[in-house]
Amino acid sequence: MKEKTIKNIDLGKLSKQLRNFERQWIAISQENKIVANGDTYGEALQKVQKKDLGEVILFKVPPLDYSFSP
Amino acid sequence: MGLLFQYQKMPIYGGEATRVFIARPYIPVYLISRTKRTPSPYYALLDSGADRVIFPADLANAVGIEDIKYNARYEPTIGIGKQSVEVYFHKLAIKVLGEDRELSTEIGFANNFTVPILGRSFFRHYKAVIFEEAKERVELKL
Repeated sequence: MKEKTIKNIDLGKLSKQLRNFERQWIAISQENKIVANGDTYGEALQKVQKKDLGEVILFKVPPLDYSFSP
Repeated sequence: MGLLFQYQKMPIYGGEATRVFIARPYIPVYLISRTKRTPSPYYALLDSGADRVIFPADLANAVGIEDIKYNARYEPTIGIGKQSVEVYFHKLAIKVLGEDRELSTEIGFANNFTVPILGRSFFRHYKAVIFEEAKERVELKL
């Protein structure tokens, strides 16, 4: 199976858009664009496959008002 | 020899309109069960303070596990804020994007879990996991 490449993926460049997708899964294209979203990994991926959007990497957007502690 | 990943910068709003950025060690992984692999990779956070690997429950569904409680080992988990989470563990595998190996790992699933976490039970598959904060990158030493 052909593997994806992540060399262009830069979540920092998507920071303004991420605010709209907190707690959701987003699918990011090889061109670093958000191409689909969903409440679950499966839902987001289904949208990608339905529209034949090519290779993506998924990311679950965390709440953006907080830093993390273990 | 190893795998290098740049940290990903995430905005933190802290309830304010303006944001600061924090760099986090996310790496792209696949989840693998006996019958299925997640078709696309997803980002999971390397967390040296976590004992276990814990993922949101919908990732279990993506590899054919319909009920995370079925045939699972239950272990409650607590964070530093003392918030406890019910976690159900399954013997599965993880594959890091760019690496050939499938890493057999006990993986916990929890409902309402917002960040896929790779704790130290994942780290043990590597000779070393090196966080280079100045360069904002992490190396998984093979």
